[in-house]
Amino acid sequence: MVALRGLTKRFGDAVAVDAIDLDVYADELVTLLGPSGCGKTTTLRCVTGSLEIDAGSIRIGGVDVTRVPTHRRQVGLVFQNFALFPHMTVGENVAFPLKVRRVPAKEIRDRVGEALMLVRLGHVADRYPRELSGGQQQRVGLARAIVYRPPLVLFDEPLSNLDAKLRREMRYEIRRLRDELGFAAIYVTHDQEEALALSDRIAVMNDGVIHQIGEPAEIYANPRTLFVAEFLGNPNRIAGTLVARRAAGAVVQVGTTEVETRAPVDAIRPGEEVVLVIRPEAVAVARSGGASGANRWEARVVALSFLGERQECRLAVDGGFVVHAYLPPTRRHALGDVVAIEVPAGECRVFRT
Amino acid sequence: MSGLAAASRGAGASASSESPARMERIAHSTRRLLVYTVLLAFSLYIVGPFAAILVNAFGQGWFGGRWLPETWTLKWFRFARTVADLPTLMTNSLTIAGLAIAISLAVGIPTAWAMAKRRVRARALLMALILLPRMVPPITIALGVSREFYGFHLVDTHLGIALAHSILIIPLVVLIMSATFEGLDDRVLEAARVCGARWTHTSWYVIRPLVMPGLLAATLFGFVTSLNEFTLTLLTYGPRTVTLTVETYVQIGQGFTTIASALSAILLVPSLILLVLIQNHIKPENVVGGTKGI
Repeated sequence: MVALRGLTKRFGDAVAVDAIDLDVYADELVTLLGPSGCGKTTTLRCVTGSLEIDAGSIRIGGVDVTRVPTHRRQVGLVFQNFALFPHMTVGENVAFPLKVRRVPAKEIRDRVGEALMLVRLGHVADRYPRELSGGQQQRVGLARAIVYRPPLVLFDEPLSNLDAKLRREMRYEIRRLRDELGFAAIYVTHDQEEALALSDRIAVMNDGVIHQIGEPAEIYANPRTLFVAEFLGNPNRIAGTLVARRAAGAVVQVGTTEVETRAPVDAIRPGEEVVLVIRPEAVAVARSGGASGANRWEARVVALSFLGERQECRLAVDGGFVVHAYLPPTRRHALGDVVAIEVPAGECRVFRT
Repeated sequence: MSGLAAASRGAGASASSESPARMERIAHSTRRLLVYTVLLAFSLYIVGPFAAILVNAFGQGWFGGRWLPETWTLKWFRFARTVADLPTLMTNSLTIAGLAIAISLAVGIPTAWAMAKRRVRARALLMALILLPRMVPPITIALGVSREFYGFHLVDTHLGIALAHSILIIPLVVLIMSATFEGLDDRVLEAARVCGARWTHTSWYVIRPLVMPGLLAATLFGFVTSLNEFTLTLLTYGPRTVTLTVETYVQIGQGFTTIASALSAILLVPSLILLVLIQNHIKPENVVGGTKGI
């Protein structure tokens, strides 16, 4: 459906998007995920046609649209700040794309009604955007983007201006719309939870480059670069040295502790400085001390936070490192408690520094 | 016995709790009185000169020492129509104002758009330059303009005077319209484009309604400025282009303050009409393009 080849965009000397290749298939939602300034929004704006690209090509539906102006690209766009026409009613807002295409008035009425029903706002057609709540305004924006059934809909951090509860709700709305209408979508966000929940595939970006593309579960479990490993989840980042490589894994020295890890993705040789990435949910915390065995250590509780659905704690391994891990909300521990922690080797990921 | 004590205790309690409330009521009323007095005085201060003009225009034999004129009459307005040739004056004033606002909008709007939407270097400096004509004493500009206009044969022409007025009106237009354009959310325009609207479509259906309040304000203020302009007109007019303001001055010079008052009263009318229009149709927050996508 969408094919980006070698897409490059420069602002002066800075390269915002660096020769990106991306395919989005007819039925899927691909998310561009990354921190601010990584180039995801710039890429999106190249696809809409708001920005002229410096190199590469963009094909939508098999047609090369690189030189086609925005208003002829037949895409939908949902904005972060809604961007509704403030002087038009909700109904007129949603009707605008149809009016521009000279659709007959009766058909406009029917299709606007249908679109508003789809976003469950059938009763507000005569109100003005300023009279609606944020969530309602965003749904109007959604309705306006899909009313002319574009094959591709783009989302520019659409939920960032909504509060947390509303965001969750809207995720389901977007999912539902996609199921009903079946359009391809490119979604831009810096919120990994949103990306993981909504996407068929995620492209993790940083510094204008895509680090990894894959299904959410896949890139979460098997990150291929340090950036991806660190960006997803809320992992521990521990500096160490590679000591040995084995058939199915490696050993990393951190302080005086040796950690068994899974095989590194990069070709790292023993003696090199590495970063060990361990996700907190992978750290099993057992009550008493007296530990021994591979990746099983004694640790002291140095901090505890109650977060409602779980507890977060920081555990210091003697002569080694500090990890943060999760505990069930009802487990009782005190600062200074000695516990036994265990991390499966497969959950310890090694990357070059 | 106990009942009497209780009654007296009750009476004493109510007496002491009443006076603080009563004192507050007195203080409140005094405050109100003070506020109204100040408002009245201020209104008289503003309205006073206008009232004086109107009374002078409609009255005969109104000399010092009298509150009101001897008789009321319409003859000054008759004189204005015949002796001072009111129809021609009106035509001149309106024509010049029409030309002036047309020129000012034609120059001012693109300038304001450029200042608001494009990255103009030394923008502050440019804005200061544009506003400069309004910072300088009108008589100073008038002298310079008049001198140049003689060279270009622009004196005593409607176009010439309109051009002179534009010097003062363009800054107004640029100021109001650049604020209006700045309030125009770029993303709303982008939304229109993505929805499939060409530039013409976007301009008509999206930009025009959103900038209309500012445009209306700029047009009305500009028109009224030209209508009421005196100093510049005085140094650029001629026998064919006498305006209401200039004629008022001439009549005063000849000692006919009553005819001058009549002319002034007539000059008030367009301004008042426009003021009412502005009040009813333009909300101040809309002038700066206050509505955005959020």
